[in-house]
Amino acid sequence: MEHGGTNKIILVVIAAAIVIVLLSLGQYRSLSSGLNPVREGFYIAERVVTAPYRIGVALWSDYLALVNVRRENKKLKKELEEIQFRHMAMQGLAGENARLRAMLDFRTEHGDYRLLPASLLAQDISVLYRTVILDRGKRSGFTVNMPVVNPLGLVGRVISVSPHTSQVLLITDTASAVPAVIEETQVKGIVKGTGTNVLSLEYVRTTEMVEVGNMVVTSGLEGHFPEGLRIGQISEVKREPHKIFVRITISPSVEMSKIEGVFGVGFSVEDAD
Amino acid sequence: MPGLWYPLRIDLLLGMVIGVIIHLGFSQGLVFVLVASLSLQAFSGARPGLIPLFYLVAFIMIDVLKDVIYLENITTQILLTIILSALAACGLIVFLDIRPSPLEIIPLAVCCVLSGCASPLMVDLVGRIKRGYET
Repeated sequence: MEHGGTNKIILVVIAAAIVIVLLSLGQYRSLSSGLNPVREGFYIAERVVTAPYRIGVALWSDYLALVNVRRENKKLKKELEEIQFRHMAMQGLAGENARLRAMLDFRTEHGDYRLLPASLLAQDISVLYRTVILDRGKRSGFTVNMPVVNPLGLVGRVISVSPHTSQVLLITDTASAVPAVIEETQVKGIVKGTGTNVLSLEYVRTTEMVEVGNMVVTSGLEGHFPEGLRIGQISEVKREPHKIFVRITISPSVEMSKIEGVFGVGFSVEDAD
Repeated sequence: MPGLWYPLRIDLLLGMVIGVIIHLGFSQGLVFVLVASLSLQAFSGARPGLIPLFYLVAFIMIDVLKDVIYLENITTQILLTIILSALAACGLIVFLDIRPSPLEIIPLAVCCVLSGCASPLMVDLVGRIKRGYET
């Protein structure tokens, strides 16, 4: 009995000594590889014991999950479509916002003119005439010969009005003629439409200083158009021998195919008062 | 060239004019052409009367031609419309002194071809309207 008790004490002491030595030497790392089979064994045993439970749970939850996933997938797809639509609408609104902001800025800059906002209603039905129809007419203050502008520059002038619509002759139409001046050199001429996407500046003598890139604005001479409205930039200058006038081509500031919102330019505030 | 196709228009009235000649009489057709072309004039910057004049001339010309050519043939309708559209475009180019660049000729040519392609449909439409009215 006494012998057995001594053995137990010795074994406990040895075990304690081994633990203390291992702890003090930091041998757990190297020992851990030796413990791997033990852990593996425990793992396998645990997997085998819990396998039926796990399989049951997996089957149940996966089946339910599949049903839920399908439902969720449908819901998410619908949400995605809604978000895509909203995104598209927001892009449109952003564009419209930018356009309206530009128009507002333009209106603030030109506070001395009475600017009447209007939108494009229709374009000319024929191929070679360049007119547009606006959604504002006599009742909104539009009158015949009223200049029409947008934030980028001169668009044209009103040629006929009805109570709720106005027909505008674009500056690109062959019937359009606008007194103009080259901003840099103050050379005067008449900007005429060519029926195409460019304009021509007429009656400028070959002796005058004209360069590509010069800006052409309204001169205000005729009285229908206010002074200083941008018309376009000179894109080509041709000086032909034995000709009095130089042939000048202008790229309009306003791209006529993209007009949306415009202003009719009324009398100045002073005149109106 | 984003603005290249800006002037693209399809003329549906020329096809209807042919349809009117085939399916209706001269007097009824003349009234229709006048009313329709006057309505179109309201949406154009063309000199007043020019558009009714063009359609009236086209109407009378096709009415004369109906005794010479077989108007009911779809190919004839297409070709006739293309030729008339092209003539109108060329006439306007000369009349208005427009000098379109080669690139700008493309949409004009496409307009003529598309108008030609649409004309048999418009002829058929007039026929259907007439049949629908009669029954």
